[in-house]
Amino acid sequence: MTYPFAPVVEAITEYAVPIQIDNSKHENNVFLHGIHHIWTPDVRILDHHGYELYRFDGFLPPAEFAARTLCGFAMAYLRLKRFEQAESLYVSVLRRYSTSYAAPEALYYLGVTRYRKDPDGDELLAQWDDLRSRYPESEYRVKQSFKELPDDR
Amino acid sequence: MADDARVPWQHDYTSALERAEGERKFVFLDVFNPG
Repeated sequence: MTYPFAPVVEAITEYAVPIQIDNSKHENNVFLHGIHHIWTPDVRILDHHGYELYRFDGFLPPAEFAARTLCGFAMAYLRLKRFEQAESLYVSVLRRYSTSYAAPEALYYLGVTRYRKDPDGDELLAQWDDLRSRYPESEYRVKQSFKELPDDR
Repeated sequence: MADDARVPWQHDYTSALERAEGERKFVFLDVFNPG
């Protein structure tokens, strides 16, 4: 199980009010239809209006789940333009879970976060340079490849 | 995923949104199947 893993519990309770919905209960069908639920675990990070800021589904082992959850909270902060909180969480993913599948996403959006915080800085390209060297096979390397020279592709 | 006592899960969506607003937090929604 993933939830007994302390870092997962800490991340969830520090940043969110946790709610579980059982998809086998008939009384939840209307709600689940409304959110277009299709697979479990179906994890959504919402603001207090119920607006979805991040989602992922499918089982992940504890460390991967923790990294993905922190990336989710980071993106939630980023979408709300709370750049300091987003930056802190992306850095945390890269320090604590640098080999996780979520790490390339964290590095990509760390650059985006710092760029949105300071558009005149050079942090976007600096982080994406780091992404190319640390996670060359990742999808996020491809997402920044329009910034690479033709010979680098 | 099955319920776990270490996460203080709520089960009422509206109450969770209200609590999140009061505590200035997000809502972490987990839809699970007990089977």
